[in-house]
Amino acid sequence: MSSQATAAPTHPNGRLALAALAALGVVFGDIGTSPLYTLKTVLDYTGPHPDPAAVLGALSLILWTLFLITTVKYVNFAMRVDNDGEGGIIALMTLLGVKTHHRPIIISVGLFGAALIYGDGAITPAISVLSALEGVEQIAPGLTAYVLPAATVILLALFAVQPFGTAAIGRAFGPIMLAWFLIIAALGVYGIMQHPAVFVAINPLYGIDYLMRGGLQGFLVLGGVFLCVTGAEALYADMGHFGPGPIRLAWNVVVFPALILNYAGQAAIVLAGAPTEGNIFYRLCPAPLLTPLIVLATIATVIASQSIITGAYSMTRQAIQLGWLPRMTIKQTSEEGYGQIYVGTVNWFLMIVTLGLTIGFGKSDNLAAAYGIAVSATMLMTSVLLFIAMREIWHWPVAAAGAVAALFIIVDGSFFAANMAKVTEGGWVPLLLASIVYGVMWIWHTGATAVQKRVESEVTPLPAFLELLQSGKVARVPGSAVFFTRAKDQTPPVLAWHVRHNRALHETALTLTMTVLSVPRVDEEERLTVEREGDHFWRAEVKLGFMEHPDIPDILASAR
Amino acid sequence: MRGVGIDLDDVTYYVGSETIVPAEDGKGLPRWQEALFAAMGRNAARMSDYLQLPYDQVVEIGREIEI
Repeated sequence: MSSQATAAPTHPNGRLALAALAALGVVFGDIGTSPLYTLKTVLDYTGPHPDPAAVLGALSLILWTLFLITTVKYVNFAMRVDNDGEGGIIALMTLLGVKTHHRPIIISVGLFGAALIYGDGAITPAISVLSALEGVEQIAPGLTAYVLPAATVILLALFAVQPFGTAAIGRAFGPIMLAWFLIIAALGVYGIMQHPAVFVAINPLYGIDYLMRGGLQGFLVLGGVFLCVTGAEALYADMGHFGPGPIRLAWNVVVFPALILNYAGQAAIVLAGAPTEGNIFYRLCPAPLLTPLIVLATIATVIASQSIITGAYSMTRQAIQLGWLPRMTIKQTSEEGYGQIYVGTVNWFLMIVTLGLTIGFGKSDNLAAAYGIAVSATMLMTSVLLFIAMREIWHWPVAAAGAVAALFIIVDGSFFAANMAKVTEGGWVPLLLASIVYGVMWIWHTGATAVQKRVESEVTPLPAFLELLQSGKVARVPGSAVFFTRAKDQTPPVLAWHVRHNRALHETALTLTMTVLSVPRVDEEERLTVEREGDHFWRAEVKLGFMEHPDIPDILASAR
Repeated sequence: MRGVGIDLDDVTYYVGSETIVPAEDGKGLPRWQEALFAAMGRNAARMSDYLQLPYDQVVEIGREIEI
């Protein structure tokens, strides 16, 4: 068990609840807005008039998928494996593949999983906002033509405001999402009342039976069912910020019950004979309340999209720090709090892809075909890494770790296989994107390693340079200078160049190397080490974690 | 950094600015990958910005590195 998990109960209850409320606004947007399109996509597979066994089977599969993947795999397994409190696939990969010894295969698995997250990060905002707005078709069919332009404008505005940061309005996200969950739960109860027998679907045999008898079509339905858990990886990725306690509380007390009630309500009205064309989620809602619900759903999907964009910035910063992506300009948008950074390159890249997908696919039905492949592949990668963690961190016997991991891998693998069936309909888009991102990561890292080798092969050892300084042939002029170098124990090339060309050196000189460790954060006391190498000549090393942003003047200023 | 004798308002930061040149030697990465890496290096954020150094206290020294 991680240190954070054991520390959580010592929180005063009020603070825990407040942290859980904040987590609602960041962690659960994606998984919480999936009811807008999951059952609808499933019904596309089963046809317009599904028989009751199919509806109950699909509902049973949705409920058990939510339970197995989110509650069991992420909340109870993944969230207990942390890298100094930090979760997510990059932290897990660093923990297993870099920290103790260098293991290229684990690194590749982790990085490809991360690259896939960018692919789906571009689809989630498109499918969520489109499906939220598609509710207007139920109020006024004449407005259908405006859904796509409206979604495009909302998404464009969302990306355009990113440089300003969201700290000012972020405080409202938690309460709004709480309202969303309460309302979808209430709508679910309203639906269930129309056909209470729907609750038999809690029995997993309905789902298994449907899968077994459904043949190929039953299997393909899994591609739709999977959409209910596309946001589950976020619980793990955001663990470092909120701590596992608040995320568990929010999931168990608010999100999971609300999702169960809502999916059951949607299935109940289908069984009670509601028309299945259009968006089944909105059929739950009494007509007079439809307009406010569409507004709330749209806001909820924007909040969900916001956390995906913020998550992409954070993942990018980690990859840059670990040397897997080129340096990009990272802007601090506010002092503290979640989503305090902005990475322009990532923002515009995501904006182009998201808008391209929105306009290219046009409807949430079509986007559903592209959605899911990347997340299911990432989840498969996480399961593989979890198996290694169970073996090496918890020291579980191979049979126990193998049994648990096999369960996860069978579930993830089935979803991945079912999603692969959608590859020609659009699933190739996130796969292509992920391959490009992975290629960029690989080439950048290989190139940077080659540069490092080249730099190290050409430098002079430090003692030879110090001898030159001592000999008095180099004039020392007033002032001080800091020389950055990657060659830690050698003469920095910039220093050698400076002395060769100016035949002089500042009175005080400091060489500085920045090292990024395979932990998320480094303690203040361990951040900077300074050693005296000669007369007014110092050698310093700055150690940073992969979640930290280098601010060299600030670090130097904090030293005495 | 008084212990070291550095006045941070007056210090000069020296940062290397490397221009990557794909070598014709056929070693290392395939040629197109080296070219892509060089392009990424040219478009990456400047090291001095990434380290958040004050603009008017930085000296960048360029050099070519063949890979």
